Amino acid sequence: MEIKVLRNVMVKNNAIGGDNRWRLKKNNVFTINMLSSPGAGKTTLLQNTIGKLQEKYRIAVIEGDLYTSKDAQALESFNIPLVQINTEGGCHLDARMISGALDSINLEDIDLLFVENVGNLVCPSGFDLGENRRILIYPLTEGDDKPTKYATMFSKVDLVIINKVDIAPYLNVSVEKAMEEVRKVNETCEIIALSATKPESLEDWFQWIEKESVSALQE
Amino acid sequence: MHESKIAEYVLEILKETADSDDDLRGKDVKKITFSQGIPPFVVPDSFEFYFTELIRGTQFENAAFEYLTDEGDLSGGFYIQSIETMED
Repeated sequence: MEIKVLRNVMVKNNAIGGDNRWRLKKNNVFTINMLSSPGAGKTTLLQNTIGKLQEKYRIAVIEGDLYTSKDAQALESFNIPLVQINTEGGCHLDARMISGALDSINLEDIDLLFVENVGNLVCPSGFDLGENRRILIYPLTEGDDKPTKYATMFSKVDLVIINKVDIAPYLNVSVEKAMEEVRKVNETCEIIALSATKPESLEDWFQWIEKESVSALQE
Repeated sequence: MHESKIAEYVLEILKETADSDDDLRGKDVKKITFSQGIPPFVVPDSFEFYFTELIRGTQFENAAFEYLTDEGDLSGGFYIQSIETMED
């Protein structure tokens, strides 16, 4: 006998992601899920972002890492709520992990939450965490073929940050070519080119946060 | 490697379905059919590596797996379409 099931396997994760989103919205917390391959510059971008925006927003960070707390340690000096999640080899964060992390943050005292996902260009793309926006940090050092090679990830983000543009002269890729490749798999995302190590190049990123934090909380 | 978590979700859903369906409860399962959108998010070999361990000793232990492609689903969704039980 054949029994129809017709259920999306991700419904288990997505239900908890929806609960997370409701909890965050209730407390007016704008949440950004930061995705990238390892070494793309997520933590460096966070350091220079928190340093600039800490006076304007009450910021918290959830750090995802396989085994270590090195990234969380890099942010300790900001004296903000920091929650470390070690996936013990798991290649992504899921909504249940975020739900547990939210339990240890006083959401009433937060305006802006960054979730630094595990460095991986495949697995995290399928897991809704309850975020308002997904961003992908794409360093030029990876070459310009990554958007089409990792189309699932590139197609599911609201913003692509092309990072490390300051060393473009030393690479066989251009910012313009990288942007063209992103557009092949995602026609609607915004694209910002910057160097996370150069605070003076981050203004467009800060304006994006300000704009999206307002619109996301009205959705 | 995300297939390990996907395998856990699949078993949770299968158990829920089996517990709530008189035609399935306690019966050995012959085949489970999945469908997947484009681009695919789940690698069947990797999924089965984890899933066959999880279902050891359950009514799903001897099931065969079939994977259909849903070219109309551009989100890459992974669905359990149907379960087929052994003949009585």
